[in-house]
Amino acid sequence: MPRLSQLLCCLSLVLVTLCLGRSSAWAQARVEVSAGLSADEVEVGEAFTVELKAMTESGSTPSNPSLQVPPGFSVAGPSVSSRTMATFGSGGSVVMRGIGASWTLMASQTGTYTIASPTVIIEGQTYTATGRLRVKVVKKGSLSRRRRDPFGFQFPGAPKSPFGGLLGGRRRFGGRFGHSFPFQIDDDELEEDPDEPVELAPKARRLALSEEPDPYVFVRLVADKDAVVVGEQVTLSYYVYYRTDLQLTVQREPPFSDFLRHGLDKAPGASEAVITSVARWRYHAKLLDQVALFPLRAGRLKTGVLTTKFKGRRFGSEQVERTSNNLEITVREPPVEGRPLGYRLGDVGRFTLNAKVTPRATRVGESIAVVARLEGVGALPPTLRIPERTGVEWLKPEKRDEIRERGGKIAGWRTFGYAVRIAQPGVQELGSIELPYFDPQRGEYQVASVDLGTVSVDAADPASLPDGGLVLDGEDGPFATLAKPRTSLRPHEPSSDVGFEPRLLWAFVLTPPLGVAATGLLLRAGRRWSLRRQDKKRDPAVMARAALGQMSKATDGKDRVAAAERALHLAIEAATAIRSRGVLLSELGDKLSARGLSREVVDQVVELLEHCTEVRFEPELRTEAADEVVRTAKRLTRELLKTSTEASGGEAEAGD
Amino acid sequence: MTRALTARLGAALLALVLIALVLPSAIGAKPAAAPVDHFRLGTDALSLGKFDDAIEHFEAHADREPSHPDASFNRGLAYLMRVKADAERPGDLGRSAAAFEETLAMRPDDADAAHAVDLVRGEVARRRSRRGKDAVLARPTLDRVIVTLASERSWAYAAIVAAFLLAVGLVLRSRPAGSANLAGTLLVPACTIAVLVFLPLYLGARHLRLTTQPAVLVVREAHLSDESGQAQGVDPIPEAALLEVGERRGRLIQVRYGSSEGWIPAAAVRLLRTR
Repeated sequence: MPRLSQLLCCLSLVLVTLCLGRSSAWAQARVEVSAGLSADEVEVGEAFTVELKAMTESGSTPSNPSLQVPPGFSVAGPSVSSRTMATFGSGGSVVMRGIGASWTLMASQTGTYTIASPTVIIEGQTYTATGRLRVKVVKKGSLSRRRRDPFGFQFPGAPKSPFGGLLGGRRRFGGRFGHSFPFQIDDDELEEDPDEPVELAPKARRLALSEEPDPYVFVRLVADKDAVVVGEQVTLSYYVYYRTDLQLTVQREPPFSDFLRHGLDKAPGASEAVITSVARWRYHAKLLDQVALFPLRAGRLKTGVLTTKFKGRRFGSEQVERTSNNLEITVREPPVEGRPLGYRLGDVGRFTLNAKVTPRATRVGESIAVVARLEGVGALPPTLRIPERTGVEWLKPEKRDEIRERGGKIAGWRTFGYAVRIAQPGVQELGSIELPYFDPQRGEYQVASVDLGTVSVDAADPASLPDGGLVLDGEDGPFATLAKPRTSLRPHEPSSDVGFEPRLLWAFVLTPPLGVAATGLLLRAGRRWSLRRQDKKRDPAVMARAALGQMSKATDGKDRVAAAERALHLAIEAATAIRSRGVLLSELGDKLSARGLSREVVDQVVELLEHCTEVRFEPELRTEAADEVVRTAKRLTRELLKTSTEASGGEAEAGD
Repeated sequence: MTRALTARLGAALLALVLIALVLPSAIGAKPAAAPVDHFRLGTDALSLGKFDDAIEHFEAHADREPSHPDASFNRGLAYLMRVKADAERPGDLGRSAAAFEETLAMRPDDADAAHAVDLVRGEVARRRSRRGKDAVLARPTLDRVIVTLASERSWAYAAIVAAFLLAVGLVLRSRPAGSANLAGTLLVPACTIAVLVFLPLYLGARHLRLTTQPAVLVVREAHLSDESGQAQGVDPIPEAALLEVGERRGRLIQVRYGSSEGWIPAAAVRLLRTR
């Protein structure tokens, strides 16, 4: 009896252990590791692939896929890619993430081989893929007429697909993950008429749509805000709406080129679907993922579209692609009014700063540690504005942070560990670290600040230290010879050099030479005019006329005769250019004739001149005789002058 | 009675509105800091080693008319302090060089500024050589060299003097043969040539003054492109280089560096204030 009781106790313990083990296994996240061959019969030297697919719900990424091949096989790979797969049904859904790994193999000998299933490590545990991988290697050329499906994968023991005929009787890789859920929508009973739900929960009402973007399944991006400031968080939810049983095979995130992105959903796809109404159809709306976006600039920014692919019985063997709406977020800068000095665009949230300085006493040239801790809600700024000053050198900080989702907001802390070298002795004021930021909830700027206090610095070698004030560099530095700063503004007259007016310049440049040239020309013309005038005065014709005038004015008879004789001589000179006073009267006639004067005029001239000579020497001149001389002289003078004018005119014509 | 009450209420409301309009502006009105105050505060910050504050004050000073060479000089020093303190931000050396160039533009005989700008360019060249990049030699073209030998006004005065001497030469040449006539004979062709040389130089200097502006590159380097943004494939312009900038189109600005001309982003240059 005691033996029996002991046996029962042992059996009970074994059962309890088994049950506990079983229940703990159930409690674990589901893991699926499967493998397949691209062909079950290959030729020698023909490449074929072994595919491993490792998927888990836990969120951790499978690693170290490995494959042992039999002797006589060459292997290349693996080539690893990440995969996401979600399956939706009316009552639940599963999102699995994992990897796919593929090896390319080549056999060198004929025979039937069993390849050991590949393994993979998931959360520290080694999993072996299910199924036996058996391949028959035949002689080269014996499979030449076989039509090969380069993309087909065979899964040993896989159930036949209802669409197997379309796929040549083989189920495609991944098909074994098409789970049927307990609350699966029965596509066969899917109504073709609208079946709007009668009453919607508040959340379902928010998700309801009046139009159906795509039939049966579509994806939608929903933002919690449509207008924010630069750096303020926008929570973006990816929803998938469906009214049929399907699988999500591909999910490509929007690019978010103008945003900083943080993931929010710890277990994407794990939330319950909500039944809502879309264009009077009953739809399941399921949150696929949620991200926090921080706009990087102002403007009307677009998120980009979420691209997905689904497969399901309703879509046949093809995958259907669905792209989401492209959300537009209006982003503006925080107000300029009240903006504190040193504010950097994008510092938005609610932050606190504290700092620890150790030690508080040091020596010149040694370092102290300043660890500033920034904590708060919002995108934590990557840098802090440190109180830089001469003699205090801040080295680049070592940063640590922890950023997580808290109540739908990105929050956390970041520490900045600085090594600070102090080059001047005495009690050194370190100053304060300040972070001006904009609080969107209050709609105002705040400044998180922490006073770093003072550090007592002992002099290491007072003689070698600079004598205070500004030191731009050491003696051997590139800026050692720079001048000191100016302490006052020396008198400076802003330059009035605004150029030179071109019109003024042309006036100044052209006036002197042109003025001189013009003056020269004027002077020359004046001189010429003067000379001409003088010449005119010496002209015999002019003088002859003048003498005629004198002749008329003279009262004394002898004077009149003398004037008449003078007028006649000048007229002869004007007419013939012969100065007749120096010519004997006896020869004058011939000379005048030789110059073209008519004989009659010549005779009268010679006769008058002789008469004048006679009259002038008469002791008592008779008035009648003088008048006769004067009259004749006038007539002959005019005649000669006329001849002179005609001659000069003729010469001019000849000259022309 | 009711009308009187309504009128009183209306008057009171109007008064309240006026007070509401006037009061905030009266309370909030702060006298803008004078340039001299910014200089003083900036210099104090500089002497305390607070170069960020110093830069802000000197930049605020530079924003106001008229600028001053000493304030520009201190601004250049403040940027250099930041470089020295290992807190350098991109473009600090370029901005420093721009400040010193501004000083020189306003006070050409400032030897300290000339020395400082040489040091900055030396540092830029050293850094380029550390990055394995050759020093960029930018030689201005001969026309630029000659035209910029003197100011527009100087060329104008030279042309006027030459024109005056030409006039004197013309007068002397008209004198009877002798030393005066000989002097005039020599002066006239010489001064004619001088006028014909100085006038184009004046016109060139005037054209440059009206169509270009000096600037300094404040990014590590800039590649010249054509108007469509196609790279020209010439040597990049190094930081702190003095440029001649012209027309601006959109986000691009036309620059001339040495004998190369092209377009670079307008944000890459800092225009110099020369008065």
